[in-house]
Amino acid sequence: MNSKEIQIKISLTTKYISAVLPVFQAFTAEYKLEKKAATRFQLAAEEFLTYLQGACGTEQVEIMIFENGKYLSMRFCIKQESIDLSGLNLIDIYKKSYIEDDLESMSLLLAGRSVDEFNVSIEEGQYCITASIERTFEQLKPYAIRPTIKPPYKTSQNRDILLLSFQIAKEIYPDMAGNSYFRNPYSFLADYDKGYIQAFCITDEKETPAAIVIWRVISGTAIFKGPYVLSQNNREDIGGHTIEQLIMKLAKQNIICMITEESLYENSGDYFDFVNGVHYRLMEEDNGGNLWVPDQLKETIQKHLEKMELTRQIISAQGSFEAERSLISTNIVKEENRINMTPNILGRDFEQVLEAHIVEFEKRCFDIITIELKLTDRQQALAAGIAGAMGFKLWYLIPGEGISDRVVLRYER
Amino acid sequence: MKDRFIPEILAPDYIKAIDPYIPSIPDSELKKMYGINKLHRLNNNENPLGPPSMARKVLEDFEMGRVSIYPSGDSYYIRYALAEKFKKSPQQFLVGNGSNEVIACAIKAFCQSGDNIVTAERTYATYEWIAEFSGIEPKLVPLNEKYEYDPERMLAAIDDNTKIIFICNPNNPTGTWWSKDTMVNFIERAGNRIIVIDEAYGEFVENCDFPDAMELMNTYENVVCFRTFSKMYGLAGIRIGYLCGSDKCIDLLRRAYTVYSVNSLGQVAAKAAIEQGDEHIKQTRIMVNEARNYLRKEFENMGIEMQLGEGIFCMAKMNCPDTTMYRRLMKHGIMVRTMTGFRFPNWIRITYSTMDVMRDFIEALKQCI
Repeated sequence: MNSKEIQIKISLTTKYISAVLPVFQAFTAEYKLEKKAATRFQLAAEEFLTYLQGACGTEQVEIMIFENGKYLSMRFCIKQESIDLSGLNLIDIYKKSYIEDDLESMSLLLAGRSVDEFNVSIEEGQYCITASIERTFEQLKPYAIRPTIKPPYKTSQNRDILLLSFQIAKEIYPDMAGNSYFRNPYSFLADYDKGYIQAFCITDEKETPAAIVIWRVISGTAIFKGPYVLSQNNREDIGGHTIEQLIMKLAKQNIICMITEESLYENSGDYFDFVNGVHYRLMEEDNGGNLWVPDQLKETIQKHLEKMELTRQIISAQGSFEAERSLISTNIVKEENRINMTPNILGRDFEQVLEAHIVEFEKRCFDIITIELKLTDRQQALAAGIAGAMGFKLWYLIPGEGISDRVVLRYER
Repeated sequence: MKDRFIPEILAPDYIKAIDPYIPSIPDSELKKMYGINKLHRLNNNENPLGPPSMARKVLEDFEMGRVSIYPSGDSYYIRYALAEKFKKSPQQFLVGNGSNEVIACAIKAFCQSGDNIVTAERTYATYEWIAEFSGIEPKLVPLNEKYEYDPERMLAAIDDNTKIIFICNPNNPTGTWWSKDTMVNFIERAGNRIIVIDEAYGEFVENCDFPDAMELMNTYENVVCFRTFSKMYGLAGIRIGYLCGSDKCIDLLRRAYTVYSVNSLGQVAAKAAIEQGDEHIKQTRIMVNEARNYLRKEFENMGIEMQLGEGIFCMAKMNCPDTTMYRRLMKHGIMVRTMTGFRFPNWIRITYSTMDVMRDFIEALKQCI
């Protein structure tokens, strides 16, 4: 048995669910998850399996329990034909009512209450729910020394230097304490080793860290954070140099756009444009394209395109959804108190489904609720119009060379 | 039920990792998109004076009947014309469908899995690109602080698995170059490797200290020279370039060579360009010098950091992302090359052109900054 991953396939009967739950417990013990986290992991397993039993009857489910970077994760995959897909929305609008303590009638959102990250996706003909709990890592002692750095600078991806950088950064950036990488730098290394996050440091010739920048690439977009400048001198110079090195690193890697929702720390020169609180930069020449835009958002999107200096032909998105029922893929990141939605299937019940989700999210006081939609897809553009009417506002547009442009809409109460 | 076809599992990992090159869309489509009537292409280092007069004439006089007949499979007449011009044997030349093809030929002929090539980190991207999609590691060496190829760092990067070293001289996009002494010193220390000296922009250099790879290969058998008809000779649309090396090198390169890849039009035009003589080169150099001096003055007045080296181009650093400046200039009918892809973020590269076009460019730039 590979202790980093366990795969089991069971029928969703009470007998088998009971038999498999101790496996989750054993996994948390192997990874020495602290008691509270271990309890949450086991509770989540029970709640998800019970939920699926209620939704699918005694169908088969593939279970994977695995080490997932900074998380321990569980994944439940069922064949598409085994479940009414509306049951995979966080809120199933076709279920009569929810009773909070009744496991069998609870919503999927409720089933996911114990976990730190949670998403629903479609993968090769299966619906998959992945839920994760943050692992327990050894605490690092604070490192309150601020280095003094002189050029020439080097870049480093040495693990020890990256770890040290976060140890120092933790002291310099107390407002980042909510971020697990700052709270516990070993969690950063766990994700880094798995390739979920990329990073490098700028150092001096003696490899004393001066700055660190981290990023991940999703669908041709590099979403980065930082640079977090560690030195007490030459801060602007180091900040600018870090960003320049990041751009050079990403230059030939299929990246269309670099983006960050955060303020840019220290001087990042003139390397980015800035619209609506988001810094971005295209990596290649963009020669326009066509966008489907719902009439309700036409003016907003046109103005936004002008601010971004992007040339797009706008086509009015009309018509209706082809499918009957909708499935919204959701990614909950508890650390940020944030939910990100993307539609998997857009059906004629989309408005009701989205509304039901918003009602629940507002009850649970999520700080950030977003939905990401492709404007190169007519139906997703229609969905943007519906979301707009429901209180979602355009936050930013992610350019995709006019082939895969997306908008991120953010809910405003 | 039919199995789903998944082509990704058939492709090697090094292919999947590559960023496919997407050429720009045709001018007519760009004009529509940007709502402009005219477009000055200053992005591809094309010669605005076009091809030499004799090449023009043979293209105009090209007999249509020949299009249904295969061209010479190894560009016979071009090789003989080049041999006469450069006092070499015709067997020392390989002619390809653009210099990209001959670069690929070199890598295919000499490199296998586990080998690497050495070149600069910020240079003509094709060496790195072709190496990558051939599954060969490109070892990329930073330029020095003057944006020149750094000979010591290049030498330090060479290891037992290095088969080819690519030197773009003068360098695209910085226009910097190695003198004769620097080149010879490097070749003598580089060991038993193929040294490809890419002189795509060599004809633009008037400095007598600029090395001539055609001469160097007489002394150093491992030197291979690339040249093209796309730049100085204004035949970019015909797609024709060549390499020259020692008999031994070319004998091996020929085994990886694609015959019949150069079309008949290209062959007649290139032959005419070779035989014409140097008047066209002289006129082009005059145009380039005039444009360079004009831009130098304008950039200085505007406080713009610039890199004005040799070749038919220069670079200028913008106070915004180069990709943003590209879009702004396009709205004024000016197309430049963004340099992020060359690892020069915020820089643009501008092809020199006739003075009316250079003035249009500066006028547009002033409105865009």
